[in-house]
Amino acid sequence: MNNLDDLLAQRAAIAAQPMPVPDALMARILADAARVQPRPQPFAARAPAPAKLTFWQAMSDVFGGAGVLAGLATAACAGIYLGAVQPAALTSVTLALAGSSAVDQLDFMPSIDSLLAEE
Amino acid sequence: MAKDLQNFAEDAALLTAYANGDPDAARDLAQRIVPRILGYATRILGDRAEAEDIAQEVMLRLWRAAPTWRAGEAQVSTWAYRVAVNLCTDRLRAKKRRRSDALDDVAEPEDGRMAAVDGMIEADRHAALTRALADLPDRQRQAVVLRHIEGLANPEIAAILQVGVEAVESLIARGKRALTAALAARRTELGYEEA
Repeated sequence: MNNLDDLLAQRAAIAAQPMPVPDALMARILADAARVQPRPQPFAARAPAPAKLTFWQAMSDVFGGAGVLAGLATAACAGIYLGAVQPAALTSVTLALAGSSAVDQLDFMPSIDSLLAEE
Repeated sequence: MAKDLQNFAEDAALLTAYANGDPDAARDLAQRIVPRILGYATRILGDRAEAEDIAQEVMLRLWRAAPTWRAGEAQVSTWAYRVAVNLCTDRLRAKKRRRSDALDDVAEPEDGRMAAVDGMIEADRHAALTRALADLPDRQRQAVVLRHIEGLANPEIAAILQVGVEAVESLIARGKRALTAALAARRTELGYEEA
């Protein structure tokens, strides 16, 4: 129907002109935009450089704390002491506990020779 | 067509700039999108205040979608039209539920710019067209308005209405038949010569 097409064409010509947007509406739209606009993330402030550690603080950190470091130092001193003084008294203690010197002859790790000899 | 593609790319670029914090991008994009959405909603609803609400809501949803917008998946203007169509449909359904006498509630056509139409007869004809459009089923009215008044292509209308192109063609054809019949019934009153 040409009449309908003519009317629609007139409507289209009117619609092709940009519809004026009221200032108040545009202001509301831009206020919404500003309210929900993602904010750029600022760079995180750089953490302050750690204070320089002393030698003992560094050693303490390496070994897991001052207590552990003290224990290690004690064990090291005890080892040096025992190696230096050769405590003969310990021999008598082990003999008393084992009952004889046969303790020394126990072989918990037999050599392969005994296995080969059985063939 | 090339101009359309350029416009689509510019819309997408502005939306990306907005999402990245550009304070001027929102104004530029709103100036491109809002007049079209406002015009469409005014033509569909026949109520300028409601159309402004629709335009504001469409833009708010667009701003919220900006951070997750995937360029290339949808065109900004098509997306905005689709939201506007859905919002207008909701409004029309709510109005239909509320009113008991539809004829008394048909709004004035257009937005005052119809005053540019010369003569009483032409004004009557456009009023009759507006009435006939208002009486169409929602989908037919949307398809006819998008095609013949907004001037969109059928594939874009299909994307907006989320149906196939053939369905769009069918909606438009049925809508135009109904409009033709409505105007034909008032042929003499509208000053058309008898065929």
